[in-house]
Amino acid sequence: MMNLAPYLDTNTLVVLCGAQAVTHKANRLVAWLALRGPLEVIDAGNRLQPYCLAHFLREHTTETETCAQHIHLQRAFTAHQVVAALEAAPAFSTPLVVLDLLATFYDETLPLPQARVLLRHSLAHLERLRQTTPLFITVRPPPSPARRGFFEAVCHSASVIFLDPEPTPVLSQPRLL
Amino acid sequence: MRAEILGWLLDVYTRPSGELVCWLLGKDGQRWLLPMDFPVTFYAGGRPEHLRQAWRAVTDSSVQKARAVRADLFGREQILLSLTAPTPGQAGALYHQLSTTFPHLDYYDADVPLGVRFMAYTGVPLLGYCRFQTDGQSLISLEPLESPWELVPSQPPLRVMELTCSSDPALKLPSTLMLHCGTWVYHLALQPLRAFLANFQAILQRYDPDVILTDYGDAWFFAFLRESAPHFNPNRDPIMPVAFQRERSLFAYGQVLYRARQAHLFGRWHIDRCNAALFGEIGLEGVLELARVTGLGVQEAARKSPGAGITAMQMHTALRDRVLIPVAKAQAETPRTLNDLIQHDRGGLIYQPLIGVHKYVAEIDFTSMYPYIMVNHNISPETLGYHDATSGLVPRTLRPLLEKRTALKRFLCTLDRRDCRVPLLQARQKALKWLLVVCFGYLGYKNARFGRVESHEAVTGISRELLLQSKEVAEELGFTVLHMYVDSLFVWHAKSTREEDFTPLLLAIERQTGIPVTLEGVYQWLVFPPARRHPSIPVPNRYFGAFNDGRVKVRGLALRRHDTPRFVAETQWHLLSLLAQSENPEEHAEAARAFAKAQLSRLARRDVPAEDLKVAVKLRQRPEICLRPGPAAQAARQLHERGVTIRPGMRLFFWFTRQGISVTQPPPEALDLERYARLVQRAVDEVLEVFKPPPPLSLQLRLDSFAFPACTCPQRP
Repeated sequence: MMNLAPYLDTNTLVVLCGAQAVTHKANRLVAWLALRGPLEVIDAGNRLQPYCLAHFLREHTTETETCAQHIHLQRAFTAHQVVAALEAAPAFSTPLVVLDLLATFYDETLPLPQARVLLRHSLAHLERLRQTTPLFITVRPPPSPARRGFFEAVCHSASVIFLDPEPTPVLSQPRLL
Repeated sequence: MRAEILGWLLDVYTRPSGELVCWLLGKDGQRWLLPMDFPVTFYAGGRPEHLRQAWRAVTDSSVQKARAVRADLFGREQILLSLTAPTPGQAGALYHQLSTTFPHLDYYDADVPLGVRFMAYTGVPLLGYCRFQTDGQSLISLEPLESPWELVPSQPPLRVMELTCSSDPALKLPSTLMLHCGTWVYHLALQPLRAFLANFQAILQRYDPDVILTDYGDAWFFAFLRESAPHFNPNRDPIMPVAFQRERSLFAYGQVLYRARQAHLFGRWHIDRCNAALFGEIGLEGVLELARVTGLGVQEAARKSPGAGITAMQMHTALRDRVLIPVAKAQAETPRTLNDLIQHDRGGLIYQPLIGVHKYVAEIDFTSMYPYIMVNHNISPETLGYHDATSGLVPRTLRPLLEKRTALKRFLCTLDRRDCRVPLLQARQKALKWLLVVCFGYLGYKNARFGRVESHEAVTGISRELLLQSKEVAEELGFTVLHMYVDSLFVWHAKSTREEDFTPLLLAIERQTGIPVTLEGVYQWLVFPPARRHPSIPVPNRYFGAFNDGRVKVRGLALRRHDTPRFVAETQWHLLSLLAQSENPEEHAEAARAFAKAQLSRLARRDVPAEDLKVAVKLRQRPEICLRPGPAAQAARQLHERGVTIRPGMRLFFWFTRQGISVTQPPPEALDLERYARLVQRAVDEVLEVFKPPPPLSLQLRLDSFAFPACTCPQRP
């Protein structure tokens, strides 16, 4: 289990960046926070794995039901819904985890100017929330370079960033024939 | 001179000037293209200071600006900036300009399809019978004489031209085109080009079709016409050029789909049968029915998914009932605990079937179960959590659709199968069925205008409960439930062998659930085969059987898969036909095995046409990103090397050869016969495995005979 106690202060925004491994880490993070007490989760990329989470909880407690009740979850499937969820998120001292914050902003059916505006609103809400709430965010790098700026903007606003090293390409021997 | 005419509204569209044009067909057969005054209003919402900025930014004096107070779906009143443009084209341009300049504003009623808006404004549905007044220059008035929900609507006398080509243009440029115009058939050689164009134009002018049905018209023919004869206009409206929409690959309904480039005509319709997903199933009659009830133009209705149709219908209800239609839905899910999510976020109920051969099993299906739940239980985003809410937007939209389809199905039941009206009514019924199929999924779809994931979960929750109630009803009446699958039950009773024996059960289930049920049929025998990996594990969605009336029903076998070669599918189908010849399929199992053996021998002798061994696979992703390219990616690479443009979602054809795969027909000696034999054997096993005699039981002995040998350890002193 990771030691995240130092990051449970207010005014700290922890960002976990990575491709695949970050989902596993994020689920462990939610489990760890649930063991401590109530928390809010906004799942913006369908990344929460309830059965994995229950498994993590069972590893550490017999009171799985109680811990599962600690997790208050809200799913967002579009960038507009992410903004609405962040807008409605109460500025309490309970930790807030936002899973795969940028997933919906990478959706190419969302026009780029509109995505920029919505991200600006999201970051403003995160800024408001971090004053009172320990904040943890996971993000994935963009699939296309056009939206690289979104990723950088989130990283820029972070107090601490945990980066998953990108896998180095495997060298393959050229084919003989 | 003013004239009043009876006829049908066939289409509406905008010209480059922005004005709306109606295409009407008079009862006397005359075609009319008449412009009409049609102002369009849309709204912008947001902070007052932003709305003021937007107000100032709109400087066009022809646009009417006003402050409006309107309610959204949830009844929340909002102060909005209302903008009314004199033409639909101007409204579209204004929305585009505003949304680019003020992306942070919320827009409402801004991207409603023109046909839907027109239907809501005039009450005249597309394909609807109407009375119109014209002075010869423009449309003065329009009055509906028919509702889209008529069971037997009047049919406009359309002229249909069919255009087929001699080969798939992606692989080989066609040499001839075949044109069917009524009873006439023309064979036109593409070369010399000038002669072809002159002939085609002459036929088009003489026959003057309302509908052009083509093969590869989207992907090839109209693009070819534009390149080879830029001045040739196949539209009936001389002002309009052919409108092309770019090709695209998209992820929908859990799979990668490919939509080829589209060519839309004006004043007549073009439907490419190879690029219209449902056309093969519902035909032109079904497409016209879709256009009639959804308000989407015929060309869109043919090409778009049924989801676009259901969205259009919801938009029509919203416009009619003065509910704001958001361009982007912003309402997020209500927060809940993890326990709640695990408990509620589930699908339909699926039972584990009892493996084996069962005699006289009845299959009972709920008719449009999910739509009925949505209507009967008033499930809509705005009604969730309220017990006494008035009918929600989704049930209001679905109710007439559901009633029409049920009435059509009942009417079909009264007709003889040989009645000439049956195929047309079936096509219309199936078109409506597709709308009902997707309406449930759209409740949980992220981009649905009036969707909400909790209402989606509510529907599945109620469906599970109703299915369990049905099971209890069946068991109370003495039936054994062999299987349940989302909206169907398979029941058995020792004394029930005929359809009428199951009527009391059907009535009891209907009474209990409030949803109509139908008896799909009584199987003489039905097989639930075991999983390949273990003989005691059942497979929920795999079964086959023969009904009392001789029909064979198959689900989950190789012959239902799109990638199964025709030879394999036909072999499996023949095995099933052999088994279906008697009440006891076991009696014909030997004959079926002999047939399978003969088919394998045919294959070994290379006595199977290569065309029957062709495999069709859908490309899921770009071939260059595949680390271990499978057959589809290999086929894509071969086609790419031959200069064919390949996109994800395309269906590719190839043969298995000893060297891998080949996209061109290989010589018989190059085919990988072992691989094809494996496919045949697997298909045979799927059917016949269950008829194999059980393995002999292992030797059984009494437990007390399992004695330990006498201890030989030396005794301790």
